[in-house]
Amino acid sequence: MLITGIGGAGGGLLATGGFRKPTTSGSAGFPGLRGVPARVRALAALALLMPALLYAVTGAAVTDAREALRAVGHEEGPTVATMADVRLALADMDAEVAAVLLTGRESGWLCDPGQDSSCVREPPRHRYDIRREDAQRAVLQASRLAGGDPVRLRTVQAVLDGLHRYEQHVQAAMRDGARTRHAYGPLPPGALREYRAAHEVMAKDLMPKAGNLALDWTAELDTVYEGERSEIGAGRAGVLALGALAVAVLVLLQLYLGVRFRRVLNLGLAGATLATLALTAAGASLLATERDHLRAAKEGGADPALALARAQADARTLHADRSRSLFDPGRADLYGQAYRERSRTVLAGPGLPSGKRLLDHYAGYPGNAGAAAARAQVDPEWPQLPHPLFREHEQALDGRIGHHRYVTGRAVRDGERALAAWGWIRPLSLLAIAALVIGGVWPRLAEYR
Amino acid sequence: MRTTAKIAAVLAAAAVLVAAAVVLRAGADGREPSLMDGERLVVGVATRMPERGPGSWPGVRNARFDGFDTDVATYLAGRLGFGRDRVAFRHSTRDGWERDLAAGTVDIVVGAYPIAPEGRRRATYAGPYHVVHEDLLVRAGDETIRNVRDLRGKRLCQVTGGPGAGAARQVVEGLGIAATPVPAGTYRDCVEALTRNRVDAVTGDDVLLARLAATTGDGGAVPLNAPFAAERQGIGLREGDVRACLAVNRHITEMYQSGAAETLLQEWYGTARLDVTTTVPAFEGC
Repeated sequence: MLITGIGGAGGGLLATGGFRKPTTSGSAGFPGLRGVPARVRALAALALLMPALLYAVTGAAVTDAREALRAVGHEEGPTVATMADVRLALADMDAEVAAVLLTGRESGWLCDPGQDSSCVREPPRHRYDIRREDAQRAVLQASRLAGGDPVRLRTVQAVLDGLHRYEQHVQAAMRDGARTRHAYGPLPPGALREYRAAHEVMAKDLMPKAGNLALDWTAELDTVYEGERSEIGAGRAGVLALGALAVAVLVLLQLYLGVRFRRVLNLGLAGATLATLALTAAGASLLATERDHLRAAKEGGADPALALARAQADARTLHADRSRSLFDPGRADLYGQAYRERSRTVLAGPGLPSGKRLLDHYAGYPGNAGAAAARAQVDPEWPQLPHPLFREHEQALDGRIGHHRYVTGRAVRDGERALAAWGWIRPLSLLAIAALVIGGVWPRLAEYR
Repeated sequence: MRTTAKIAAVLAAAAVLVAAAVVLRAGADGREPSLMDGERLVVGVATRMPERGPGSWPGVRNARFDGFDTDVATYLAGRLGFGRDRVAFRHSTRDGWERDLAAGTVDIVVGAYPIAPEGRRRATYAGPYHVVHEDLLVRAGDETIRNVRDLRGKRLCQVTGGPGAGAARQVVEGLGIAATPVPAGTYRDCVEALTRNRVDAVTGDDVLLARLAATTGDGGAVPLNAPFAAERQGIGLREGDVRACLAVNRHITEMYQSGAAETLLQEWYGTARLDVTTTVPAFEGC
């Protein structure tokens, strides 16, 4: 019906150069594409292939985004936080022990009300026991997470063994210290020997291993994060490229039909083009948003929270280093060096004014100030508690860590919520585009029957 | 007609390529270059050497490198896949190892000290694999010196040249201990001065002092075993080589777990009456 005189016009429109061999068929290179219906069918097939590819690429990128959020929000991320908690709990235990030995309150530590109802077990011991359980629980969780990695598993096991040894030395130091009055001064030699042994275990065995495990998992989280992030970026580029190609094919088909069948606009194909454009734009913007959420969760939440948790452990150990140098003056220089190194991280890390105030307070009581420096370690009213300035710094850090952990949680939730709709958007839009293409092309092909 | 078909074919091919690249992750393998991809490994040795001049350093015997640090380097190189025939050693320095790495004269440095936090990082740092402590060497039987504070009013040997020159100054100026520095050319001269009662103490890292003490035989000089500062010895790597850094840290962990580190420590320092830590140190992080 409408086939008359199409050849020249259609070819001329598309072959802009205007140069055509008049002889053999124009589709010699593509056998089987002879005749208009075959070409329309081929172009339509291509127009259907494109959204299918777009569907696959969007799917892969959405999976990457979901994986990345899962890693940061639910798996590697929390594991890293757990390992940071191990270090924090160890630093707490260390600080409680040092404070008790400094203030000479060993009997309140050793007191077991089950055996002797006349004594009172003091708060430092309760806090120590709670933190020891925290550490143990976190280490056990770490051993579960270590899975089949033998190197990690051995390290986790060694931390558990070390905890036991540490506690034995601490108990021995407490028993020996309780026999002599030494509050705010050097420890008696027996207690000192045991304490040094305990400190060796803490400083050379437990802390390094807990720290190394945390670093190990941090590196793993970073690898997953960087990898998935770059893949989401590649996926976004792919979505844009495929979207553009799909639109190009649809436009090509539109033009071809327009010329061959002398129609101004094929509504089905126009709808399919718009739907493809919308899907491409929505997909690309989703992936950009996911990258932003991911970045907020990791770089705005997990990373600073981890750095702050490290600064918190450092602040506690720094406090304990000062206590140690006061009851173990023989090693004051070694503790002093550790103190100086940590004071740099306390100042440089979170940059909180409370940290500066705390260090200024310590600086007012140099190590050789003896009992005055020792009293400056603890609360003037309640010697079982660390100095108010130390507690203030702790609270400031806690607040900041809480904020960053909240940021991570919220960003992961937002990212996951944005992804949820794509479970149905993708298949539905694929079906819609396919229906529009078929609906647009079918009546034209029917004209040949 | 041909043109339509051609355009369509090009579009189809491009689409399939893009989709394949994204879905199959063909282009995702953008790994940073690493020393682990190399054919050979040149190890720079930056351990603090007591004296200048090849052959006279305790770390070098007959122009051959030996010592704890080189053994650690050989072990780690082996774990990274470099057999002994593919590893070469070169001297590097305590202060210049970052420069050597950047210049490419060495691929990896043992005995490197970590970069100060305030300094700009120009290298990646794995480990440390061992923590050495600043300590004192005193005459056997000298009961008057129990820790570094007892040096007040005592004669402390100060090496005038070479990498050890700062050690005595650190005690006198850094810790503010009023000891009298007595200059000597080399660490060996210091040990001689100590045994002949011209100085009361020699300071340096415990590892070095242990080796020096071993040269005096029984009853000459003994390390005090009262550490007053800790220094971390690790592995310097080219900036950004995180892949190698993570691998090295893992191999260091294994070196301690398997007992290989303890064997090496005992071999090199066990006889020197020195308390050596046989557990893995805290890593700096890659």
